[in-house]
Amino acid sequence: MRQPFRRTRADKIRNKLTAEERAVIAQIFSDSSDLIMGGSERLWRLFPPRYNDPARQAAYELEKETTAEERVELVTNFVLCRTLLVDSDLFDEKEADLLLRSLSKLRLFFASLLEIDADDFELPHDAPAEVRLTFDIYNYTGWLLMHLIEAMDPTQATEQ
Amino acid sequence: MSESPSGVLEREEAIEALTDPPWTVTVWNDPVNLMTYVTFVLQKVFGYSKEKATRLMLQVHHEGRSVVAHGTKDEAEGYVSKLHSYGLWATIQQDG
Repeated sequence: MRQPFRRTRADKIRNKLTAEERAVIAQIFSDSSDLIMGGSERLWRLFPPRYNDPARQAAYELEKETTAEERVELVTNFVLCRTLLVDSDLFDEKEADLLLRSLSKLRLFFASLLEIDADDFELPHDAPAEVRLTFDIYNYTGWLLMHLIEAMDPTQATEQ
Repeated sequence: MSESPSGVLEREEAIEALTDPPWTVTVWNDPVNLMTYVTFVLQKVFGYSKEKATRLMLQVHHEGRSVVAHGTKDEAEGYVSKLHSYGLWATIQQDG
């Protein structure tokens, strides 16, 4: 099976995505950033509550940085990842970690758009083409994430 | 010899930390995060072994949540910030 990322002997991660894939991912990060900055009501999962106790959570929300600032931080990370994925053939551990976190957030974002609420979620047969495309992107980011985790595991075999 | 105001404050904070019930960090199940991903993050954030991280991940998956760490309020808040940065759904609460 083709692997998009591969651990090297020098403990770096090699980016084996094709030029076409890199262009597609760049577009996905870019489009998602626009939607996130546009503000959607379905973004709570990207910025979940911190306290179980609603009173403490309410007090925290009064002092914390605004949701707009959190969105800017997330989108800034998306921009960094887009540059990494498109322009770099080799990631160090810190870069791989940023990529991992951003791909996870991206996947959560698409899950929010699709309203995924169960492990065995399936699209209805008559789902519009646009929704099907979103589901494909959601699955694709999951595939990337799975392989990145594998490549980041130091016990995994390195490339030949 | 009288203690400086900052010394008194530090002592009060230390006593408060000792007498305060500990804070717990809970990770909640969600249908999106991959099981391998949750295990990986628990290893990375807490330095847990793969076995312990897998056990906690399975508890999250089967029981809906798992208490993954205890500590002072500052420690718990730090852990939750890290878990949120990885996209895990985690909250803190004070025991007792």
